[in-house]
Amino acid sequence: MSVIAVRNIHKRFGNQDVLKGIDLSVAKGETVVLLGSSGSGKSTILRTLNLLDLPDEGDVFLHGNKLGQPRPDGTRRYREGELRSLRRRVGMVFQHFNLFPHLTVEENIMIGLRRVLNYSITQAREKARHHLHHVGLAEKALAFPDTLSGGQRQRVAIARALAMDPDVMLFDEATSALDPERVSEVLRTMRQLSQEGTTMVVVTHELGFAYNVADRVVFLHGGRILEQGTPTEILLHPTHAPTREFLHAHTEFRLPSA
Amino acid sequence: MRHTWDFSFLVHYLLPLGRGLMNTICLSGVVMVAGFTLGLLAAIAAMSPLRTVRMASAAYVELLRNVPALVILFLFFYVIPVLTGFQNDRFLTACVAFSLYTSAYFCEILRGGFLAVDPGQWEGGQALGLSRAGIFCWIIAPQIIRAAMPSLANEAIEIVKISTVASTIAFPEFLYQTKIVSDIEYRPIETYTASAIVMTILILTLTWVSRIAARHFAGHRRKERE
Repeated sequence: MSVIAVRNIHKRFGNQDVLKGIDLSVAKGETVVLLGSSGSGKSTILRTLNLLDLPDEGDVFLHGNKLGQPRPDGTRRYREGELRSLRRRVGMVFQHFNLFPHLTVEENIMIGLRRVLNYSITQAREKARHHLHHVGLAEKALAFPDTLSGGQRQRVAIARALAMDPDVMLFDEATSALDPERVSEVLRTMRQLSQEGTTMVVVTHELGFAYNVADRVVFLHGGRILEQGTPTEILLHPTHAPTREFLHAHTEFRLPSA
Repeated sequence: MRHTWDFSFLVHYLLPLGRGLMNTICLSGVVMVAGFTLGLLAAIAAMSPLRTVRMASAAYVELLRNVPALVILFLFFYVIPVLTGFQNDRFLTACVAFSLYTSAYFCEILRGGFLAVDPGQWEGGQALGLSRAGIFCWIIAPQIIRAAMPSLANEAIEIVKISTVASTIAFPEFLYQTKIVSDIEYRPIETYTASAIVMTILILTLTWVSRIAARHFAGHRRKERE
Protein backbone atom coordinates (compact mmCIF):
# COMPACT_ATOMS: atom_id res chain seq x y z
CA MET A 1 0.00 0.00 0.00
CA SER A 2 1.17 3.50 -0.72
CA VAL A 3 2.49 5.73 2.06
CA ILE A 4 1.19 8.85 0.40
CA ALA A 5 -0.78 9.36 -2.78
CA VAL A 6 -2.71 11.97 -4.72
CA ARG A 7 -5.46 11.31 -7.22
CA ASN A 8 -6.66 13.62 -9.99
CA ILE A 9 -5.20 16.77 -8.40
CA HIS A 10 -6.07 20.09 -10.01
CA LYS A 11 -4.66 23.39 -8.85
CA ARG A 12 -5.15 26.90 -10.18
CA PHE A 13 -3.30 30.05 -9.17
CA GLY A 14 -5.41 32.95 -10.40
CA ASN A 15 -6.41 32.01 -13.93
CA GLN A 16 -3.39 29.76 -14.46
CA ASP A 17 -3.86 26.00 -14.32
CA VAL A 18 -0.74 24.71 -12.59
CA LEU A 19 -1.81 21.10 -12.07
CA LYS A 20 -4.23 19.47 -14.51
CA GLY A 21 -5.04 16.09 -13.04
CA ILE A 22 -2.08 14.51 -11.27
CA ASP A 23 -2.05 10.91 -10.04
CA LEU A 24 0.92 9.89 -7.97
CA SER A 25 1.43 7.18 -5.43
CA VAL A 26 4.58 6.63 -3.38
CA ALA A 27 5.32 3.20 -1.90
CA LYS A 28 7.10 2.58 1.38
CA GLY A 29 10.87 2.85 1.00
CA GLU A 30 10.62 4.29 -2.49
CA THR A 31 12.58 7.31 -3.71
CA VAL A 32 10.65 9.23 -6.35
CA VAL A 33 12.30 12.11 -8.20
CA LEU A 34 10.09 14.71 -9.89
CA LEU A 35 11.65 16.41 -12.89
CA GLY A 36 10.35 19.12 -15.15
CA SER A 37 11.11 22.63 -16.34
CA SER A 38 10.16 25.55 -14.11
CA GLY A 39 6.42 26.11 -14.10
CA SER A 40 5.71 22.45 -14.78
CA GLY A 41 4.09 22.14 -11.34
CA LYS A 42 6.59 19.88 -9.56
CA SER A 43 6.92 22.05 -6.44
CA THR A 44 3.16 22.45 -6.28
CA ILE A 45 2.73 18.67 -6.26
CA LEU A 46 5.15 18.43 -3.36
CA ARG A 47 3.31 21.16 -1.47
CA THR A 48 0.03 19.39 -2.13
CA LEU A 49 1.37 16.18 -0.59
CA ASN A 50 1.55 17.84 2.83
CA LEU A 51 -1.30 20.22 2.01
CA LEU A 52 0.73 23.42 2.33
CA ASP A 53 -1.15 24.12 -0.92
CA LEU A 54 -4.74 22.88 -0.90
CA PRO A 55 -5.86 21.32 -4.19
CA ASP A 56 -8.86 22.79 -6.01
CA GLU A 57 -9.94 19.30 -7.02
CA GLY A 58 -8.79 15.79 -6.25
CA ASP A 59 -7.87 13.76 -3.20
CA VAL A 60 -4.85 13.20 -0.99
CA PHE A 61 -4.32 9.84 0.71
CA LEU A 62 -2.09 9.01 3.68
CA HIS A 63 -1.66 5.22 4.13
CA GLY A 64 -4.69 4.74 1.89
CA ASN A 65 -6.96 6.98 3.95
CA LYS A 66 -8.55 9.84 2.07
CA LEU A 67 -8.00 13.13 3.88
CA GLY A 68 -10.56 15.87 4.48
CA GLN A 69 -14.33 15.88 4.61
CA PRO A 70 -16.52 16.15 1.52
CA ARG A 71 -18.28 19.43 0.79
CA PRO A 72 -21.58 19.63 -1.10
CA ASP A 73 -19.82 21.01 -4.22
CA GLY A 74 -17.58 17.95 -4.44
CA THR A 75 -14.40 19.61 -3.15
CA ARG A 76 -12.91 18.68 0.20
CA ARG A 77 -12.54 20.61 3.40
CA TYR A 78 -9.45 20.13 5.57
CA ARG A 79 -9.62 20.83 9.28
CA GLU A 80 -6.67 22.48 10.99
CA GLY A 81 -6.16 19.47 13.28
CA GLU A 82 -6.10 17.05 10.35
CA LEU A 83 -3.59 19.21 8.49
CA ARG A 84 -1.34 19.24 11.55
CA SER A 85 -1.46 15.49 12.03
CA LEU A 86 -0.70 14.98 8.32
CA ARG A 87 2.23 17.37 8.40
CA ARG A 88 3.86 15.80 11.41
CA ARG A 89 3.95 12.52 9.47
CA VAL A 90 5.37 14.20 6.37
CA GLY A 91 8.77 15.86 6.65
CA MET A 92 9.55 18.76 4.36
CA VAL A 93 12.88 20.29 3.37
CA PHE A 94 12.66 23.68 1.69
CA GLN A 95 14.82 25.34 -0.92
CA HIS A 96 15.61 28.19 1.48
CA PHE A 97 15.93 25.94 4.57
CA ASN A 98 13.40 27.94 6.65
CA LEU A 99 15.39 27.40 9.82
CA PHE A 100 14.40 29.52 12.80
CA PRO A 101 17.15 32.14 13.19
CA HIS A 102 16.44 32.95 16.85
CA LEU A 103 17.00 29.35 17.94
CA THR A 104 20.18 27.31 18.10
CA VAL A 105 20.64 24.37 15.76
CA GLU A 106 19.51 21.87 18.40
CA GLU A 107 16.59 24.08 19.47
CA ASN A 108 15.48 24.19 15.82
CA ILE A 109 15.19 20.42 15.96
CA MET A 110 13.77 20.31 19.48
CA ILE A 111 10.87 22.71 18.90
CA GLY A 112 8.78 20.25 16.89
CA LEU A 113 9.57 17.41 19.30
CA ARG A 114 8.67 19.56 22.28
CA ARG A 115 5.60 21.41 20.99
CA VAL A 116 4.11 18.83 18.64
CA LEU A 117 5.19 15.44 19.98
CA ASN A 118 5.34 16.58 23.65
CA TYR A 119 8.85 15.32 24.37
CA SER A 120 10.55 16.45 27.57
CA ILE A 121 13.52 18.79 27.14
CA THR A 122 15.97 15.99 27.91
CA GLN A 123 14.37 13.53 25.49
CA ALA A 124 14.11 16.20 22.80
CA ARG A 125 17.74 17.23 23.21
CA GLU A 126 18.91 13.64 23.06
CA LYS A 127 16.95 13.00 19.87
CA ALA A 128 18.12 16.27 18.35
CA ARG A 129 21.75 15.34 19.05
CA HIS A 130 21.18 11.90 17.55
CA HIS A 131 19.84 13.33 14.30
CA LEU A 132 22.54 16.00 14.12
CA HIS A 133 25.09 13.24 14.43
CA HIS A 134 23.27 11.42 11.63
CA VAL A 135 23.77 14.37 9.25
CA GLY A 136 27.34 14.89 10.46
CA LEU A 137 26.79 18.12 12.41
CA ALA A 138 26.94 16.96 16.03
CA GLU A 139 29.48 19.66 16.90
CA LYS A 140 27.14 22.43 15.68
CA ALA A 141 24.35 21.74 18.19
CA LEU A 142 24.76 25.05 20.01
CA ALA A 143 25.54 27.20 16.98
CA PHE A 144 23.02 29.59 15.48
CA PRO A 145 21.91 28.98 11.89
CA ASP A 146 23.43 32.24 10.62
CA THR A 147 26.91 30.97 11.53
CA LEU A 148 26.58 27.91 9.28
CA SER A 149 27.24 27.46 5.57
CA GLY A 150 24.30 26.86 3.23
CA GLY A 151 25.06 23.16 3.01
CA GLN A 152 25.24 22.82 6.79
CA ARG A 153 21.97 24.73 7.19
CA GLN A 154 20.23 22.42 4.77
CA ARG A 155 21.54 19.38 6.63
CA VAL A 156 20.17 20.87 9.87
CA ALA A 157 16.84 21.34 8.10
CA ILE A 158 16.97 17.69 7.04
CA ALA A 159 17.73 16.63 10.62
CA ARG A 160 14.85 18.79 11.86
CA ALA A 161 12.42 17.04 9.52
CA LEU A 162 13.86 13.57 10.24
CA ALA A 163 13.64 13.99 14.01
CA MET A 164 9.85 13.93 13.74
CA ASP A 165 10.13 10.32 12.46
CA PRO A 166 8.11 11.10 9.33
CA ASP A 167 6.59 8.41 7.14
CA VAL A 168 7.80 10.25 4.05
CA MET A 169 10.28 13.05 3.37
CA LEU A 170 9.67 15.77 0.77
CA PHE A 171 12.60 17.69 -0.69
CA ASP A 172 11.68 20.89 -2.53
CA GLU A 173 14.74 21.84 -4.60
CA ALA A 174 16.86 21.31 -1.52
CA THR A 175 20.12 22.13 -3.29
CA SER A 176 18.99 24.95 -5.62
CA ALA A 177 19.96 27.77 -3.24
CA LEU A 178 23.40 26.38 -2.44
CA ASP A 179 26.83 27.27 -3.74
CA PRO A 180 27.85 24.62 -6.29
CA GLU A 181 30.58 23.19 -4.05
CA ARG A 182 28.06 22.72 -1.22
CA VAL A 183 25.55 20.78 -3.29
CA SER A 184 27.23 17.40 -3.01
CA GLU A 185 27.30 17.27 0.81
CA VAL A 186 23.52 17.67 0.85
CA LEU A 187 23.02 15.19 -1.98
CA ARG A 188 25.21 12.67 -0.13
CA THR A 189 23.01 13.03 2.96
CA MET A 190 19.92 12.52 0.81
CA ARG A 191 21.42 9.45 -0.88
CA GLN A 192 22.28 8.00 2.51
CA LEU A 193 18.65 8.43 3.62
CA SER A 194 17.42 6.78 0.46
CA GLN A 195 19.75 3.84 0.99
CA GLU A 196 18.50 3.50 4.56
CA GLY A 197 15.02 2.96 3.18
CA THR A 198 13.49 6.39 3.82
CA THR A 199 10.45 7.04 1.67
CA MET A 200 11.28 10.18 -0.29
CA VAL A 201 9.79 12.48 -2.90
CA VAL A 202 12.44 14.75 -4.36
CA VAL A 203 12.08 17.77 -6.61
CA THR A 204 15.48 18.54 -8.04
CA HIS A 205 17.43 19.61 -11.10
CA GLU A 206 20.31 17.28 -10.23
CA LEU A 207 20.00 14.67 -12.94
CA GLY A 208 22.97 12.74 -11.59
CA PHE A 209 21.17 12.36 -8.27
CA ALA A 210 18.02 11.23 -10.06
CA TYR A 211 19.96 8.68 -12.09
CA ASN A 212 21.93 7.25 -9.18
CA VAL A 213 19.41 7.38 -6.35
CA ALA A 214 15.84 7.39 -7.67
CA ASP A 215 13.76 4.23 -7.85
CA ARG A 216 11.36 6.07 -10.13
CA VAL A 217 11.63 9.26 -12.14
CA VAL A 218 8.50 11.24 -12.96
CA PHE A 219 8.67 13.85 -15.70
CA LEU A 220 6.14 16.68 -15.54
CA HIS A 221 5.15 18.92 -18.39
CA GLY A 222 2.45 21.60 -18.41
CA GLY A 223 0.82 20.45 -15.18
CA ARG A 224 0.57 16.79 -16.24
CA ILE A 225 2.74 13.71 -15.82
CA LEU A 226 4.20 13.21 -19.27
CA GLU A 227 6.10 10.00 -18.54
CA GLN A 228 7.53 8.03 -15.66
CA GLY A 229 9.68 5.00 -15.13
CA THR A 230 13.08 3.83 -13.95
CA PRO A 231 15.95 6.35 -14.17
CA THR A 232 17.36 4.43 -17.13
CA GLU A 233 14.07 4.58 -19.03
CA ILE A 234 13.39 8.26 -18.44
CA LEU A 235 16.90 9.72 -18.38
CA LEU A 236 18.55 7.60 -21.05
CA HIS A 237 15.64 6.53 -23.27
CA PRO A 238 12.90 9.18 -23.00
CA THR A 239 10.03 8.66 -25.38
CA HIS A 240 8.55 12.18 -25.48
CA ALA A 241 10.00 15.26 -27.15
CA PRO A 242 9.65 17.64 -24.13
CA THR A 243 11.57 15.16 -21.96
CA ARG A 244 14.33 14.93 -24.55
CA GLU A 245 14.54 18.73 -24.82
CA PHE A 246 14.66 19.07 -21.05
CA LEU A 247 17.44 16.50 -20.74
CA HIS A 248 19.35 18.03 -23.60
CA ALA A 249 19.20 21.50 -22.01
CA HIS A 250 20.47 20.08 -18.74
CA THR A 251 23.35 18.11 -20.22
CA GLU A 252 24.48 20.42 -23.02
CA PHE A 253 27.58 21.66 -21.21
CA ARG A 254 28.72 18.47 -19.60
CA LEU A 255 32.33 17.28 -19.48
CA PRO A 256 33.00 14.14 -21.49
CA SER A 257 33.40 11.13 -19.25
CA ALA A 258 36.97 9.94 -19.06
CA MET B 1 26.54 90.30 32.80
CA ARG B 2 28.08 87.61 34.84
CA HIS B 3 26.08 84.78 36.39
CA THR B 4 27.22 83.25 39.64
CA TRP B 5 26.40 79.55 39.58
CA ASP B 6 24.94 78.26 42.82
CA PHE B 7 23.21 74.92 43.15
CA SER B 8 23.19 74.78 46.93
CA PHE B 9 19.55 75.89 47.35
CA LEU B 10 18.37 72.70 45.61
CA VAL B 11 19.14 70.72 48.77
CA HIS B 12 16.00 72.20 50.34
CA TYR B 13 13.83 70.86 47.53
CA LEU B 14 14.97 67.24 47.38
CA LEU B 15 11.64 65.98 48.64
CA PRO B 16 9.32 67.71 46.09
CA LEU B 17 11.78 67.03 43.29
CA GLY B 18 12.07 63.39 44.32
CA ARG B 19 8.29 63.09 44.36
CA GLY B 20 8.20 64.65 40.90
CA LEU B 21 10.71 62.11 39.68
CA MET B 22 8.63 59.27 41.13
CA ASN B 23 5.54 60.65 39.39
CA THR B 24 7.44 60.83 36.09
CA ILE B 25 8.57 57.22 36.49
CA CYS B 26 5.05 56.02 37.39
CA LEU B 27 3.40 57.89 34.52
CA SER B 28 6.02 56.68 32.01
CA GLY B 29 5.76 53.11 33.27
CA VAL B 30 1.99 53.00 32.93
CA VAL B 31 2.14 54.60 29.47
CA MET B 32 4.78 52.13 28.29
CA VAL B 33 2.70 49.11 29.33
CA ALA B 34 -0.71 50.46 28.26
CA GLY B 35 0.63 52.06 25.06
CA PHE B 36 2.40 48.84 24.08
CA THR B 37 -0.72 46.77 24.76
CA LEU B 38 -2.98 49.08 22.75
CA GLY B 39 -0.36 49.24 19.99
CA LEU B 40 -0.18 45.45 19.92
CA LEU B 41 -3.97 45.22 19.54
CA ALA B 42 -3.90 47.83 16.77
CA ALA B 43 -1.07 45.94 15.03
CA ILE B 44 -3.03 42.67 15.22
CA ALA B 45 -6.03 44.53 13.76
CA ALA B 46 -3.81 45.90 11.00
CA MET B 47 -2.99 42.30 9.98
CA SER B 48 -6.65 41.21 9.99
CA PRO B 49 -8.01 39.43 6.92
CA LEU B 50 -11.05 41.72 7.19
CA ARG B 51 -10.72 44.95 5.23
CA THR B 52 -12.88 47.00 7.60
CA VAL B 53 -10.79 45.99 10.62
CA ARG B 54 -7.59 46.90 8.77
CA MET B 55 -9.03 50.27 7.82
CA ALA B 56 -10.18 50.95 11.38
CA SER B 57 -6.67 50.24 12.61
CA ALA B 58 -5.14 52.51 9.97
CA ALA B 59 -7.56 55.31 10.86
CA TYR B 60 -6.74 54.92 14.56
CA VAL B 61 -3.00 55.12 13.91
CA GLU B 62 -3.19 58.06 11.52
CA LEU B 63 -5.49 60.05 13.77
CA LEU B 64 -3.29 59.67 16.85
CA ARG B 65 -0.02 60.04 15.01
CA ASN B 66 -1.01 63.29 13.34
CA VAL B 67 -2.21 65.11 16.45
CA PRO B 68 0.36 66.53 18.91
CA ALA B 69 0.51 64.84 22.32
CA LEU B 70 -0.33 68.19 23.94
CA VAL B 71 -3.57 68.49 21.96
CA ILE B 72 -4.65 64.96 22.90
CA LEU B 73 -3.89 65.72 26.53
CA PHE B 74 -5.96 68.93 26.42
CA LEU B 75 -8.75 67.08 24.66
CA PHE B 76 -8.99 64.66 27.54
CA PHE B 77 -8.43 67.24 30.27
CA TYR B 78 -10.60 70.12 29.05
CA VAL B 79 -12.91 69.00 26.24
CA ILE B 80 -14.13 65.61 27.38
CA PRO B 81 -15.09 66.83 30.91
CA VAL B 82 -17.14 69.59 29.29
CA LEU B 83 -18.90 67.08 27.05
CA THR B 84 -19.43 64.40 29.68
CA GLY B 85 -19.49 66.44 32.90
CA PHE B 86 -16.97 64.01 34.37
CA GLN B 87 -13.54 65.23 35.44
CA ASN B 88 -10.87 62.58 35.90
CA ASP B 89 -7.77 63.19 37.98
CA ARG B 90 -4.64 64.48 36.30
CA PHE B 91 -2.62 61.29 36.55
CA LEU B 92 -5.33 59.18 34.93
CA THR B 93 -5.96 61.76 32.22
CA ALA B 94 -2.27 61.90 31.33
CA CYS B 95 -2.08 58.07 31.35
CA VAL B 96 -4.99 57.75 28.93
CA ALA B 97 -3.89 60.54 26.60
CA PHE B 98 -0.26 59.46 26.31
CA SER B 99 -1.10 55.75 26.10
CA LEU B 100 -3.34 56.44 23.11
CA TYR B 101 -0.73 58.73 21.56
CA THR B 102 2.16 56.30 21.91
CA SER B 103 0.06 53.25 20.97
CA ALA B 104 0.02 54.55 17.39
CA TYR B 105 3.82 54.47 17.33
CA PHE B 106 4.00 51.07 19.03
CA CYS B 107 1.56 49.76 16.42
CA GLU B 108 3.76 50.90 13.56
CA ILE B 109 6.91 49.50 15.20
CA LEU B 110 5.31 46.09 15.78
CA ARG B 111 3.78 46.02 12.30
CA GLY B 112 7.20 46.76 10.81
CA GLY B 113 8.71 43.98 12.93
CA PHE B 114 6.03 41.58 11.73
CA LEU B 115 6.68 42.44 8.08
CA ALA B 116 10.42 41.89 8.65
CA VAL B 117 9.83 38.21 9.47
CA ASP B 118 10.29 35.93 6.46
CA PRO B 119 6.94 34.32 5.49
CA GLY B 120 8.89 31.08 5.05
CA GLN B 121 9.04 30.91 8.86
CA TRP B 122 5.30 30.16 8.93
CA GLU B 123 5.75 27.33 6.43
CA GLY B 124 8.74 25.98 8.35
CA GLY B 125 6.54 25.75 11.45
CA GLN B 126 3.54 24.39 9.56
CA ALA B 127 5.64 21.65 8.00
CA LEU B 128 6.53 20.44 11.51
CA GLY B 129 2.84 20.23 12.43
CA LEU B 130 2.85 23.20 14.82
CA SER B 131 -0.46 25.01 15.36
CA ARG B 132 -0.90 28.58 14.13
CA ALA B 133 -0.87 29.86 17.72
CA GLY B 134 2.23 27.80 18.45
CA ILE B 135 4.03 29.14 15.38
CA PHE B 136 3.18 32.67 16.42
CA CYS B 137 4.29 32.23 20.04
CA TRP B 138 7.47 30.21 19.53
CA ILE B 139 8.67 31.34 16.13
CA ILE B 140 7.14 34.59 14.89
CA ALA B 141 6.74 36.68 18.07
CA PRO B 142 10.35 36.27 19.26
CA GLN B 143 11.56 37.38 15.84
CA ILE B 144 9.23 40.40 15.83
CA ILE B 145 10.56 41.47 19.23
CA ARG B 146 14.11 40.89 18.08
CA ALA B 147 13.65 42.99 14.93
CA ALA B 148 11.70 45.71 16.76
CA MET B 149 13.78 45.92 19.94
CA PRO B 150 15.85 49.02 19.03
CA SER B 151 12.73 50.94 17.99
CA LEU B 152 10.82 49.78 21.07
CA ALA B 153 13.64 51.04 23.31
CA ASN B 154 13.62 54.34 21.43
CA GLU B 155 9.89 54.69 21.98
CA ALA B 156 10.29 53.97 25.70
CA ILE B 157 12.76 56.85 25.94
CA GLU B 158 10.39 59.05 23.95
CA ILE B 159 7.63 58.27 26.45
CA VAL B 160 9.69 59.56 29.38
CA LYS B 161 10.18 62.83 27.54
CA ILE B 162 6.55 63.09 26.43
CA SER B 163 5.45 62.57 30.03
CA THR B 164 6.80 66.05 30.84
CA VAL B 165 3.95 67.48 28.73
CA ALA B 166 1.70 66.52 31.67
CA SER B 167 3.14 69.58 33.45
CA THR B 168 0.78 71.65 31.29
CA ILE B 169 -2.22 70.27 33.18
CA ALA B 170 -0.40 70.77 36.50
CA PHE B 171 0.31 67.10 37.10
CA PRO B 172 3.24 67.25 39.56
CA GLU B 173 5.74 65.31 37.50
CA PHE B 174 9.42 66.15 37.45
CA LEU B 175 9.38 69.11 35.07
CA TYR B 176 6.39 70.68 36.84
CA GLN B 177 8.18 70.45 40.20
CA THR B 178 11.31 71.90 38.60
CA LYS B 179 9.33 74.85 37.33
CA ILE B 180 7.88 75.53 40.78
CA VAL B 181 11.30 75.41 42.42
CA SER B 182 12.69 77.67 39.74
CA ASP B 183 9.85 80.18 40.23
CA ILE B 184 10.25 80.22 44.00
CA GLU B 185 14.01 80.69 43.91
CA TYR B 186 14.27 82.83 40.75
CA ARG B 187 17.07 80.51 39.67
CA PRO B 188 15.90 78.93 36.41
CA ILE B 189 19.39 78.29 35.05
CA GLU B 190 20.57 76.10 37.93
CA THR B 191 17.19 74.44 38.43
CA TYR B 192 16.71 73.44 34.81
CA THR B 193 20.34 72.43 34.44
CA ALA B 194 19.98 70.13 37.44
CA SER B 195 16.73 68.73 36.08
CA ALA B 196 18.36 68.09 32.68
CA ILE B 197 21.12 66.14 34.41
CA VAL B 198 18.63 64.06 36.39
CA MET B 199 16.54 63.34 33.26
CA THR B 200 19.67 62.33 31.37
CA ILE B 201 20.64 59.92 34.12
CA LEU B 202 17.10 58.48 34.16
CA ILE B 203 17.08 57.96 30.40
CA LEU B 204 20.61 56.57 30.32
CA THR B 205 19.48 54.01 32.90
CA LEU B 206 16.55 53.14 30.66
CA THR B 207 18.87 52.79 27.66
CA TRP B 208 21.09 50.48 29.66
CA VAL B 209 18.14 48.31 30.71
CA SER B 210 16.86 48.16 27.13
CA ARG B 211 20.30 47.06 25.90
CA ILE B 212 20.22 44.17 28.32
CA ALA B 213 16.71 43.32 27.14
CA ALA B 214 17.81 43.54 23.50
CA ARG B 215 20.70 41.20 24.14
CA HIS B 216 18.33 38.82 25.86
CA PHE B 217 15.87 38.79 22.97
CA ALA B 218 18.60 38.58 20.37
CA GLY B 219 18.58 34.92 21.30
CA HIS B 220 22.32 34.51 21.46
CA ARG B 221 23.34 32.06 24.13
CA ARG B 222 19.73 31.96 25.26
CA LYS B 223 18.69 28.64 26.72
CA GLU B 224 15.22 27.32 26.24
CA ARG B 225 13.42 28.02 29.50
CA GLU B 226 10.49 26.20 30.92
